[in-house]
Amino acid sequence: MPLAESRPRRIGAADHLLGAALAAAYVALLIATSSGLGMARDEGFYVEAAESYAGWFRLVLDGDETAFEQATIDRFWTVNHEHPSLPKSLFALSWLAHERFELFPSDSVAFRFPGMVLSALALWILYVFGARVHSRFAGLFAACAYAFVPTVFYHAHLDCFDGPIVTMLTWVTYLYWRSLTRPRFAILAGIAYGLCLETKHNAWILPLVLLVHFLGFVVPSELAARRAGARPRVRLRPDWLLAFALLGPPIFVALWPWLWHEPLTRFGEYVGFHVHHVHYNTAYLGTTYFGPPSPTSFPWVMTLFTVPLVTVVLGLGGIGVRLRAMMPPGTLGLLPPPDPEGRSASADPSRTDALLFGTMLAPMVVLSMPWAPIFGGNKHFLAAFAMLAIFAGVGAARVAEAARQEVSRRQPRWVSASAPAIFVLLLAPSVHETEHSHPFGLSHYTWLAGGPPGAADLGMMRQFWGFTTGSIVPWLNEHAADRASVWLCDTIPTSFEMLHRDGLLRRDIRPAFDMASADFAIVHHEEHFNEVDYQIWMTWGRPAPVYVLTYDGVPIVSVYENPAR
Amino acid sequence: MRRAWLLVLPLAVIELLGSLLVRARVPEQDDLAAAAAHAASVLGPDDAVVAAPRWLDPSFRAALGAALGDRFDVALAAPDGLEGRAGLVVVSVRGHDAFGEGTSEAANRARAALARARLAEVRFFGRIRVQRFALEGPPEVYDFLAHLDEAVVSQSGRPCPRTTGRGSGRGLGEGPVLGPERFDCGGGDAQRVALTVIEDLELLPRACVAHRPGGSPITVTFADVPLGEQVVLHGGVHWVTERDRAGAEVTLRVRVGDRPLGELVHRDGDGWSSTELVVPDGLRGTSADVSFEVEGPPGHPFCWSGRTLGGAR
Repeated sequence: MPLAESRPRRIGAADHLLGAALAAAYVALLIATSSGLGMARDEGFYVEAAESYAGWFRLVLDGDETAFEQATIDRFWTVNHEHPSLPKSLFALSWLAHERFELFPSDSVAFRFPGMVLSALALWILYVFGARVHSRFAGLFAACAYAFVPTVFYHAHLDCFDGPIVTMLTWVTYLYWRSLTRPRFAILAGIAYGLCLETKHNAWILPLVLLVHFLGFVVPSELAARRAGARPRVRLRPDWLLAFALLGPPIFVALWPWLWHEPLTRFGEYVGFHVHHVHYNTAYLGTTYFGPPSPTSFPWVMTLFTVPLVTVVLGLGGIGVRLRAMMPPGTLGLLPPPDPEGRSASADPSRTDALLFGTMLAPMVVLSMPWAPIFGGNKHFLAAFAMLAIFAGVGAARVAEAARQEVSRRQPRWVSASAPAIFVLLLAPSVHETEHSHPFGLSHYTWLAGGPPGAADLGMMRQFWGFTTGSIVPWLNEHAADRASVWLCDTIPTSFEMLHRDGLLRRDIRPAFDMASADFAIVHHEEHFNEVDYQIWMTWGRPAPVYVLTYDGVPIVSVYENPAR
Repeated sequence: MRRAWLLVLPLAVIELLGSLLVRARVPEQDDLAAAAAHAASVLGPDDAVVAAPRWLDPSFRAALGAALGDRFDVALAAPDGLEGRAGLVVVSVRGHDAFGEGTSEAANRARAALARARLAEVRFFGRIRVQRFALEGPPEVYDFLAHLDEAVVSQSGRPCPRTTGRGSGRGLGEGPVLGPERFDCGGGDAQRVALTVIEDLELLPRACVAHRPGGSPITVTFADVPLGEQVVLHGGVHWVTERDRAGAEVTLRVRVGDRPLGELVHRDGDGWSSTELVVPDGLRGTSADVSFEVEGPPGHPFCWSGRTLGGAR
């Protein structure tokens, strides 16, 4: 049986079992590696929100009749209302369950667990999507290649939304794709879209992307096929869009109590926050950007520098293989003759490759726009990596097939081992880089960038969110005097307190809110935080840190000790 | 064509080995400590010391601090320029040269000075290189920043007393912190003259005299200054203020006695600016009172440094 299939496969329970096993194994890996990862700044905000929302859930569970009154809702749900509530509600419920049953090894895992599960579900979807579209080998490779992108592995740990929204976007895309040939999936797609909206605002642009695919590829191909005498293969009525419109908003509102009493006003407030989002500082190729225009090359270069090179090359190879199948109607004549193994565009009524390519490009293109908010990092286009991983699966299947043929010609007795060996070899750089990146996922750059030192030479962003405070805990535990205080730079007190709650940091070591009277002060090294370094020098009269946490020799956190204490 | 796919296999091996190689080439902490100790031992009193590339700086400062102890002060950590320096010690990794980054006037001046310098010594500590360059150019005669505590500060003829304050950094976006020894003209930090370190337009530290424009001009006077043959001035504004390039210009005026010597004009966007003022023939080699005044938009967080330089070395 060829590894690179030419037609969509039938996917059965065993495939879903394998997908579920992949997700479960990933969650287990995330939990096992979570304790070494300090809480990021935004995680702290979402812990605060989740604890507040948990208070409301307690009222509901206790049957308190005031729980649904606006004043009560606002008391609990106003916290962090700039983001929808689904992930945070799950964090809250997980926390409540942990409070009652002590389910998790630590408090931080209790909050992070839903994010881990939601992130890991992407592997299940990617496997099934890839297997259904191309081959099981391709699907399996896609899931693993996505899982072992170092920044994906980092974000999948967190009680944040960036991992979960990738899962939601991929799930909605998959269900939309299924609905093209099986209309009953449209209802599921509508429900999924409501959950997607309720996860993060990245969901807003997806219908537009899908509509372009539907009107620009699916409908013209279908009309052309029908004109050529084919029987109807896809429904030309966009049931999926109807489902998005009818099911999405009600689910969005229903799951977010903060909207219940003033839905329009508050929805406007929510949208306004993101439409007028501030620009963050981020270092990119030697310049610290703090305002528009956003550098157009940013998402592309960041992809090259943060996704393992083999995955990128396989992905580009996969795109090349499928190029004919993703061309807009009427443009096939521009390309060389078709690959005999490739599925032609006309044979695929769903125009699957165009869909995968479009949903891969969409977040990258949006963030390439000069007016795009400057965020830094690659978390806002992780969804592109998921789709790139499917193409990488296509490429990996081609490599495995080529190897199988070579092996069968030269060493026939090894032919059955060739595919697993190729799988392992192609994934090895990703696994190695991911293992090495932990717990410095945001600081990690791949070999193409020269690793972390090469990226530092190139003036790339070092980190954000102050999560690396977790990595200086062993030093503080060993060197800080009794009841020492630490001025925390970019780490918020809730995230710092989680180090206590998890039993990692000595209880007597406290956060300090006044630098001058603190015993220690830390700086998270991002170029624009140099200012804080200099503040410490002037406050304490000493420009020398007593400890510098490094990653591959690159400074991550400096610790200063107050000479007067 | 099918066989071309097999080329990805050696790429996977190369990527794997390349990643391992990156890790293997990371300098050892012990080597950095030894390099810093050596840098401290060859560092002369009129030398500057820098790490290359810039990102090495925190690790290097930690090691140099351990080697130098209290001799490591903010003026050494935040050099204003190479003018008047006898030497430059460079501790570098990965083959980087000092001042290899940056396109500002300050970076260009530093690179030009280094290009004229003579490499006096080079040693390796594992993967870390320590170089000492002998710099050309006239030597320093008097450093205004180093003598700030001897200055007299006044506003419209009214003396601004020396006070001891307590500066405390407040984090990102909160701006520079003044040193504890200040001249207080009343009205908060905007009306104080003190040592500070600003983050210049390239986000580099610059030790300088905080001296903001606005209101009645504040005059900073240094008595009996050996004038040498020229006065080199530097000035700049905290990055967050300057980066939008929207502010008005700031002028630093220098007088020798009652006689104007010259000025440094800084415009937002200039970054860390420099100029040299030639001491007139009749005053060369003599000593005189030198005073500084700043004119510009109120509250603009300007600061400056300067030194007098002698004849050619």
